[in-house]
Amino acid sequence: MATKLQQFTLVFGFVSAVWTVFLLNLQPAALKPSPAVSQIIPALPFVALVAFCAYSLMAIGYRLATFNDCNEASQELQQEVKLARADLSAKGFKF
Amino acid sequence: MATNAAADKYSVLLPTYNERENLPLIVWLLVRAFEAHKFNYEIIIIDDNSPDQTIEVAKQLQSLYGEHHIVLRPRPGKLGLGTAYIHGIKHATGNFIIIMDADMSHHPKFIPQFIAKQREKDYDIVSGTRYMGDGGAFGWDVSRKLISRTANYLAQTLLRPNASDLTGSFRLYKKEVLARLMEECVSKGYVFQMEMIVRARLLGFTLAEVPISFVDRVYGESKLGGMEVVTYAEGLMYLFANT
Ligand SMILES: Nc1nc2c(ncn2[C@@H]2O[C@H](COP(=O)(O)OP(=O)(O)OP(=O)(O)O)[C@@H](O)[C@H]2O)c(=O)[nH]1
Ligand SMILES: [Mg+2]
Repeated sequence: MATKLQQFTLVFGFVSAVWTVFLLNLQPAALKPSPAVSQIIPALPFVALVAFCAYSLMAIGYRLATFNDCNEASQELQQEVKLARADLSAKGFKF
Repeated sequence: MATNAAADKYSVLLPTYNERENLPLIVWLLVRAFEAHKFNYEIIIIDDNSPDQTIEVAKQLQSLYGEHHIVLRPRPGKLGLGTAYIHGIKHATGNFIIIMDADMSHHPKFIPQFIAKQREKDYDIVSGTRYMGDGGAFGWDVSRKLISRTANYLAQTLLRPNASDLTGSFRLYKKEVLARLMEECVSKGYVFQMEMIVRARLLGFTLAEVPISFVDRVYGESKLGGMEVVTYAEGLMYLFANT
């Protein structure tokens, strides 16, 4: 099976090739974009990059903000540590 | 393969290095969790000749809980976590292996949940996750969370492993699955845990996740230095290019 790098290279290469065709206006006449669309084609890689970065920042930021701090788990554990110490000592364990 | 639940045995691999404070507590919690559900179990303690004499504590626990429940497989020196697991599997008599840290970051109360999840669809691996449902971590400051979140996002984006927590080390494996994966995996540390999941997916093993609350170690020293970040990035690139 192709590695992740190969998969990425394949998809990236294909998309880049399609973009280059449109950039150089080599596409079949039937696929000719309207003038408005033609104008933004050169900027598309930049737009994609910015969109990806913005999405990444938002995804990381959101998960950072909603991260579960598990305060109850820590308190529960502290209680259990007391129980464990008491029980172990009662059984003759030397800490 | 449908397993007969009553015949299942769970071998916990507990590598220790300077855990004399934590070991009795984690073992007590493990015994309580297993006894409450009447599971067959053994706890294999792999101590690498810890300077704090963890082994002395382990011996006391063995005489307290019995040699069939507490198995000591010490090694003469600090040989690292990866080889500790290999060493442990060799001596495990269970058909399932649970790997976890002995520093109380991983609470044994989740083990019955792992087992129930495993039995649902006879999964090959059940992995604890800090990044889903009620999962999370206690004792992390903002920068620790940011590093963890970013590292996880990068791994998810680059490797698309279909598992939410790649670097966790609280997992249940079928013994033969773990043995097979240990043969395949070459990385160390966090990257090793990540490689186990990625290779498991490639080999077609099935995996389920259970949310866990991770409580950062109370006793002993914690380390997450700049070096670890570099090692992680390198490991991620390695897996991106090779899997
Ligand atoms: N046998 C053995 N156990 C080890 C070794 N290094 C770490 N351990 C144990 O492996 C488990 C995980 O190690 P930790 O030091 O907690 O690693 P960590 O969770 O990545 O880092 P912390 O933030 O320090 O908790 C603990 O139970 C350690 O005692 C080793 O070289 N040999
Ligand atoms: Mg730890």
